[in-house]
Amino acid sequence: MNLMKKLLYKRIRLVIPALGICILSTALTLCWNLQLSAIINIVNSNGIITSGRIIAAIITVIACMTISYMLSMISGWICETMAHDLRMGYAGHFTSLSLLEIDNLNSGEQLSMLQNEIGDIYAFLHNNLFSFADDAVKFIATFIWMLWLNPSLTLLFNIPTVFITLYTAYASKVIGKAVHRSQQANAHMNGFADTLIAVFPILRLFDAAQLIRAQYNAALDQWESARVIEENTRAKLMSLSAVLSCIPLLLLTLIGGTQTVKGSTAIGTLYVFINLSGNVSGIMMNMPGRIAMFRKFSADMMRIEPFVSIQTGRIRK
Amino acid sequence: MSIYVENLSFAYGDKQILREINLNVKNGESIRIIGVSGCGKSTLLKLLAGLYKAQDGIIEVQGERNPEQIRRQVSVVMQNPMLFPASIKDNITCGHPMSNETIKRACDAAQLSDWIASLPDGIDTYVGERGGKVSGGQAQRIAIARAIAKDAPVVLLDEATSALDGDTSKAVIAALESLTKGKTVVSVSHRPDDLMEYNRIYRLEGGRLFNA
Amino acid sequence: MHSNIKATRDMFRMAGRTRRFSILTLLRCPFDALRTIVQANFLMHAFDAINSGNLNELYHACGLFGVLCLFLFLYNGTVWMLYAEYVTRWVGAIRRKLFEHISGLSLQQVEAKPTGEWIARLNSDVNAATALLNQNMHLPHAIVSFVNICVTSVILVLVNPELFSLIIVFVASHILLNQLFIAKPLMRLSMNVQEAAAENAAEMNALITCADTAILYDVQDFLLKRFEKSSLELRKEKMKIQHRKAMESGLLSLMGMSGYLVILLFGWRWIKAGLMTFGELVAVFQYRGGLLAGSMMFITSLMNVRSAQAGVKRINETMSLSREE
Repeated sequence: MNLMKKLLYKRIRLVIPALGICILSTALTLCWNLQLSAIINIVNSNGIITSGRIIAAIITVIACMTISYMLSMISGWICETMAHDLRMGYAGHFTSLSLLEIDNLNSGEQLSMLQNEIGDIYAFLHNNLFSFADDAVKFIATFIWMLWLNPSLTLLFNIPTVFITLYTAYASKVIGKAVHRSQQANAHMNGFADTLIAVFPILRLFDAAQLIRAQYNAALDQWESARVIEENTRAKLMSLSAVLSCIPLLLLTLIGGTQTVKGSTAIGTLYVFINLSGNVSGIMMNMPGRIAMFRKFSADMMRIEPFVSIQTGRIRK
Repeated sequence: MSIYVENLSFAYGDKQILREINLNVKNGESIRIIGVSGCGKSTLLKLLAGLYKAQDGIIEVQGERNPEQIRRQVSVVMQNPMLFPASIKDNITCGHPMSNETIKRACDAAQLSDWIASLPDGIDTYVGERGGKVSGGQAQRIAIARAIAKDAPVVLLDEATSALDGDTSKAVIAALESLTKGKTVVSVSHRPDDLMEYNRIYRLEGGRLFNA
Repeated sequence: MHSNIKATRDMFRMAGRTRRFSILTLLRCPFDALRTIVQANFLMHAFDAINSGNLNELYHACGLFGVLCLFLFLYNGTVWMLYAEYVTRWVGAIRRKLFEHISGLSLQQVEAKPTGEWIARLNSDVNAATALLNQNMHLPHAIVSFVNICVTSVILVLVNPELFSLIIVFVASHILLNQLFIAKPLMRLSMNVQEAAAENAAEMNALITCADTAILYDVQDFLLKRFEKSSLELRKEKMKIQHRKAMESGLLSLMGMSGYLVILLFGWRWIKAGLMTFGELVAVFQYRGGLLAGSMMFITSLMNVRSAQAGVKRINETMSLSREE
């Protein structure tokens, strides 16, 4: 992940404001939920919702909309810029090779690396990098906010989260291994495309299509079984993870409901706890998949690292 | 007649490569075609090998005109030997049923036997992706063994000796001599000199064939 | 549209096992709708129990919810495993047939196209086409979400037709704005990105294949600058897409939160008038969430299915090339 560190360091002037916007976005979400809690308490007590309260809520909605737009724009800009840096680093590598190294280059393989590995890395950066950061900020901020509102309810409904975390760590490790095996089988199978075209004249001259088909089919069978194992593992572990993730909601309703009936918690507070429980347990539920994706990303990064030369030092372009 | 070509023309789109080529090669005769890069030598060889279909004119190899049938009559050795990511044995047999004796004979003739004997897995040794686990000379001799094992009456050589260096050239030349012995040979090269001997030499220029 | 359906049908025919696909999709259909119903009913009963101070009813609702969740995810996990195996075999069958077909072409056909084109046909095109069943939002998701939309709509009409109309106003305007300002321009912008990406790949190809000449004539910087220009152009085109996606994100916040607020205010009036309980209002929010998520999933799935068509068509085109063998 040295390459990732270099990429992030190079664009640190963009990354820090983006993290700031992430924090602001979470703060606004919490503010919105605080307002909702107050409105729900009024609804339940048959009280009056004042126009001032409604205007404040509308302002929060507009602020949330603006911040969502800004966060998406800045995170997109960073990812695109990092992808550009990566492409340039990859291109720069070829200009640093000696003639002998160039003679041994397989252009099909190199182009396929640009399309596959760098493509996968780009997809990960684009879909996950800032959603990782955003989730982390959401998780921490929501948890602290919940603790401030109702410490006993927060701690009690989140006790299973600790076990879920341990389980997800185990699950992601198992899924990661399965993903790695299926990726290797996939790379082996994809390599046949290049081989097929390279040996095509021999295939025709020596009537050897059956030989390469048999080899390809064997590689395909390997990929199929690796992929089936990967998906079965994922389905089993993630289904269990989904069941486990229902426990916090269940406990929240059970304990929070009892507290509400006994008068120690307001119904509005319970409602926003349920609303925001996704920011804590929901993030947990997605952990195995996320970590598995991160492992794949890290493997892709390691594969291309020798072929990418990133100039350290912050630049503006 | 082993090879008979009459008024052969060929074009890639609008670009005319070969114009009215006429060529007769008798059984057991060896000829050489020389020409600069891009003059159409390899295209002519691919047409003679039945890899391309003639657009105009006639190509007859060992009495066959159908490209698929022509391919059964020829063996081709190229400058860059193309190996399957498989064992040495599979690279020689190309997946066809072949007796161990035929394979051994091909290996002997291609000067491969001593090297194979020194390998832990012998003839079942994996040659790697694009032949990455064997040297250039060894790969070339495996390709020649493949051609010997096919035992086709016509041998086509595409710059087969152009990239040889001192150490490997002797073994490869010896292997090529075993391959071409008693066969009809057509060799194309951009170099006027060659390590092998031929009955006739032609020059390909402007898409036409001239006596050199 | 018709040609897309025909192309998809041809590819399914090529891969075979269409009946199994139909059965597995049918098995997947009820999951999203059932999950929405279970969650909405649980919250409705729980909040009604809390409001009425009935702890027994609350515990009963919680117990039932736990058991139903267990069965629901057990069911989903089982179908997921069966489906994943089916998709893998399906992709394998397409790959196998495609490889067999290409390996049976003549050298003349193969040499008529660049090596990269054939590699793309064997790898990238298969990935693009099989995204129909293989990516996050795909063809079965479109069917599952459609079922979810229908079921939640019927339930909402039965619970409170006025609230349903209100929800539909927000959902429909959200979808309309999304289609007008985001989805449609995105299609055009995606094509520009593809062109810019192809140009960038061509520059990279030049950089690799001409690397030796570049050293001899000292033109590495020149080639690198050309590559940089194409890479920056690619970034520019991708940022245009990002701008639309940011608009989508903003729109989601605006419509989602304002819709929530409006329903809450209307719900308050009905609760005050004794026409609705707070538990029912919470259930309405859940159904609204199901409807909104279902609609978004439906649109995204259809868009993904549409973009996968390019791969499907190229596979069919490759398979239609006459073989020499």
